[in-house]
Amino acid sequence: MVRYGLVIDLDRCIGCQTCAIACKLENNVSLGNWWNRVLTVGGSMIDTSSGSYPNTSIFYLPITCQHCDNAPCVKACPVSGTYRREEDGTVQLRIERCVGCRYCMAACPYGVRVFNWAEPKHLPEHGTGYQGVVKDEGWIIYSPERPKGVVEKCTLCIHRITDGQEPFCVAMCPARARFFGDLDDPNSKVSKLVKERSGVRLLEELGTQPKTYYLPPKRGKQSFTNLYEAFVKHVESTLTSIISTSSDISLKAIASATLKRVLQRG
Amino acid sequence: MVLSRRSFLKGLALTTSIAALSSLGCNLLIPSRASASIEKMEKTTKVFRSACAPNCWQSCRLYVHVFEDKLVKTEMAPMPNRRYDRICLRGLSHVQRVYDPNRLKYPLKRVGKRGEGKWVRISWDEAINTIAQKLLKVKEKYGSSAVMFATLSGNYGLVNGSFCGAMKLFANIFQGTVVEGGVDSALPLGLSQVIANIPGGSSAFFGANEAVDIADNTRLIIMWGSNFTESQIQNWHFVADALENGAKMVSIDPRMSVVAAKSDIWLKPRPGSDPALALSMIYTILNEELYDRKFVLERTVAPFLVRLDNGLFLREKDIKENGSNNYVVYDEATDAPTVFEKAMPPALFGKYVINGILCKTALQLLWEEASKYKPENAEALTEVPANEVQEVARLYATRKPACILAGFGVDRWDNGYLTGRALATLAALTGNIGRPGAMVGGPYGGSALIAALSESWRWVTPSGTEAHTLNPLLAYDAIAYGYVERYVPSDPADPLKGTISKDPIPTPYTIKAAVISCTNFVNSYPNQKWIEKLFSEENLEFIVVIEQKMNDTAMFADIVLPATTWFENDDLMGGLHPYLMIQERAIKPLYECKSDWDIFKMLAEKMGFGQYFQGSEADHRERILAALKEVYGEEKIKRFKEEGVVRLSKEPYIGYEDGKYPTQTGRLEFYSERVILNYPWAYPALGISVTMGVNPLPYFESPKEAWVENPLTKKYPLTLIQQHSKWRVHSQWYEVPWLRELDPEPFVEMNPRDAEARGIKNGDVVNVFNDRGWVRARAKLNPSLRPGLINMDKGWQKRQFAAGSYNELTPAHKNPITLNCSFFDTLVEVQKA
Ligand code: SF4
Ligand code: SF4
Ligand code: SF4
Ligand code: SF4
Repeated sequence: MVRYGLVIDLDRCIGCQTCAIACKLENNVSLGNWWNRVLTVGGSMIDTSSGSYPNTSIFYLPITCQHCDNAPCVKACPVSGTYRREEDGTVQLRIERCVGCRYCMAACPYGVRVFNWAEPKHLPEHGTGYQGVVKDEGWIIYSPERPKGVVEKCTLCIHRITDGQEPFCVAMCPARARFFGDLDDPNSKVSKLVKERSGVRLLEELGTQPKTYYLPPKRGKQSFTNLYEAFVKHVESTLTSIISTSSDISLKAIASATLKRVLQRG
Repeated sequence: MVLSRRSFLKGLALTTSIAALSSLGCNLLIPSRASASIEKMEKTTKVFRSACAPNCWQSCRLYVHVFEDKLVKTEMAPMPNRRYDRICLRGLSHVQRVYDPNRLKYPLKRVGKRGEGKWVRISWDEAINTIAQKLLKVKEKYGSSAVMFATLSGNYGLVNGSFCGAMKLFANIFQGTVVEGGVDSALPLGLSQVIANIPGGSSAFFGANEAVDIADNTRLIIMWGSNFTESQIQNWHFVADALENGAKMVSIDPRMSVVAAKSDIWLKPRPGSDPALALSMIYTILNEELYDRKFVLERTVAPFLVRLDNGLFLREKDIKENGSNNYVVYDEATDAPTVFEKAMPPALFGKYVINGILCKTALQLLWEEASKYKPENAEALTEVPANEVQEVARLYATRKPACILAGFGVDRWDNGYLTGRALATLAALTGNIGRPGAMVGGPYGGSALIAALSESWRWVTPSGTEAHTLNPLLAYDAIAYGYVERYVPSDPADPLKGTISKDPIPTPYTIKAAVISCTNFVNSYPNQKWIEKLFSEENLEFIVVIEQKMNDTAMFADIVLPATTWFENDDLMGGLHPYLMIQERAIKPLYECKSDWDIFKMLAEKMGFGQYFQGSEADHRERILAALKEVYGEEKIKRFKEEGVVRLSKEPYIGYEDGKYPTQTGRLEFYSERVILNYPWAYPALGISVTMGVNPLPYFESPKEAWVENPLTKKYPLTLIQQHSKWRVHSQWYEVPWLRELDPEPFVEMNPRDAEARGIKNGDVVNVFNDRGWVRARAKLNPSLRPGLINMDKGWQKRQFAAGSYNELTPAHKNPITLNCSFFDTLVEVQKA
């Protein structure tokens, strides 16, 4: 089987946000929404450090959909909108099926799904990036135009990878810190990196089997505890906002349960 | 244009709703099947070849995607050597600049007071007529040089851009005054003093190795005042490769930058003390005899005897009747002075009396100067512990090849050129120059930009006349006082003969009108309030600004002309990498915008010299290519025309690998007979003779303002720097929504300790002020900053601040040697608003 995944080298990554902007450009993501983010692992604001001078620490953690093999979002979706593609292991969303219940958002422990609360806004208004529509078994899984009221997220650039191209964020990373490939192929670059550099995954203990591996930083005096703090803070704010803004009891319950699992890491 | 792989697919416009989308059948959009279940419906896009042209120096080659005459995407395009493929967040957000609703769309005429921002739309005819009239009036009244043509680095295009584009042609024909420079030139001047003091002032900076060399050959990288991961995003991967290949990295920066966080060793000197730090490394290397003896003898002036009576090198003719001009050394074998070639081996150190003339070797003089900065003593200046300096000095001298990648953190100081001299001296002593993996400065060798610019005389003076040139800091004085203080060559035909005096001489100079393109002058030079005064109606009778946006400079125009973006132009450009790249017009000029070429062509036609602006931008590009063909040959230009990109320089490019240095002695001169100047620009460079009492050695001088001993620190205890962040290139990209989502507003970044002492919390609105001006913005607490040091990212426009502007705070102090703006040499205080 093919199982596509990403590997991100945290020593090479410099937090330049090029991958985050690349994703917005290529996928015509609405103003205000981000499928792909680069978190600062340091102080409370972007590009600040933790610690106190001169003993400070800073590095970056890019996160997007982890294309979990055992994806909680897939299980949470009541209408089979979100699903895992057997052919390549990516997790996709049938745009037309999405009813906007946001259960998948509440179930995702990585805080990577976004919701179009309003009609997406673009500058330029004519939109950007890939000019095409992708269907899987007749269902639209990518369109540059996505309406109000649907959830969206990283498709792993399904329009590119099915053409033999790398995802756009990978191709554009100026640091050559992002790698894409088949994790099931032991000879692929990604598999080798994971093995040689002891790649780790976020919240492995949740059993989600995510397919984004991070090569832990060897430079600087960072620790994975810091990494988790920044990451958990991000997930917490995503889930908390779902809990506090919704009146749907089931949605709140799913989000609370996810948050609990994330905080307890298990 | 190249066709995209999918452009043969004829498609229809995208529908506007999902419902409509799902009803689309295969007969509407031509589908392609990529896998068993995946089906795609794609649109025809055209792909053009272009390049990103701001002054980030990285000059990324781009593919530009156009769908139905609209720009939809820019992306990294392949370089002939794929390792040079590059892009950044800004290069991917061009679509938002091109379609920025706040772009200038039509020519505008000021109706309110200057700077007030009241405009009416006028026609191009009216605009061009008015400009032509005004320029002629100023010329009649004050002479053509009273019109300044200000430009800097806003566009690298050779047809439309800053360096040798349409405005320069026009200024040369008109014989106006080109005002440019004054930035990025102190550190390079210091490096050039040692490495290349014959060509124009700052040349050495661009003569090092090409960037890929870092990755393959370097064993030690010293990031000296370089915020590399932020300001050179596109070269970082070469460094990352080097580290993976086992290189070590040292960062020298008062701030724990991201690159410092990734370094093996971090030295954190007191801001502005860098020359002293480098001198204590020089001392350590000499004291511990870690210098490369062979290299020092063969390639530097180390053994040359220097006359203490006048500072010149001792020549054979000084000690022997009918002797030559050859330099004299002291031969240790025969215990006698002799011309260098004959000595076996010459003494490197020592003091000698020869024919009654007291002499020392150049290395002896350096040693004596450096001895003032023994690590344990220099600590008082630098606050870097002696053992840390020694450790880095030893590494640099032994872990070879090593490179010093110096950023402009050290350039923005009054003493920036002294840092440059000291760094080049470190390279000279250790032989870390002119070989693979070793360089000092930046990795810009073999640059196609520099290659093209050195030939630009072939097309930039079509009428045979030339504009005058003025440094911007001097232009301030010309506008305000009608005179400038400048050095005068004793023989204008031979700059090597030097200046007539040690200090610059006041000379009358009148500037009464300004034509501004490719620079946000008001925003990007120091002491903004003063500039605003200079730009008032009493001082300048007429101001034209060619711009894409109503920025701080356009606000002061009498007439604003709307400029095209790079994707609306036909042009070509080189980068600070080896590749010359085409810029194809991907979309037609939007609104009524025009390129610089078209604007100056219209103006030239109106003023009666249209014959020098024949044809279109593309025609002018052909003329440039024809000129380059004469130097680089048919084959390269043919390849350029076919592929839209070509390498001009040799490969690999290792700067000075032939061991020849364009200095007066042909050697690395940590001691010289003249101190070279940035201004007046001359080729060869103009210099002040040491006989006038100037010191050519690397030495330490404290910063002009931001220094502990300055009593002003009592009132203004904080030093303000301006990071060149990833969010902008100078002031370009200041209003791009995607970037503003991440970096929404200007911040005053400070250490929590400094904040606490002032009762300031994260996010509080604060005032930053000194006697020159003030600015109001939110505080952002960041322990990366050294206590006492605060940062405001460069490039925000005045109206983006709650009040004031960051460049109101900076000094327009003039260092006569460099005439480089000392932006970081700035003292301020911060208070909660
Ligand atoms: S583009 Fe690459 S280096 Fe930049 S933030 Fe993303 S992963 Fe990191
Ligand atoms: S990261 Fe979240 S959205 Fe992506 S597959 Fe996993 S659970 Fe689903
Ligand atoms: S793979 Fe594509 S969709 Fe996913 S984050 Fe990268 S650019 Fe965005
Ligand atoms: S801004 Fe500079 S680094 Fe970024 S894409 Fe443009 S040229 Fe490249």
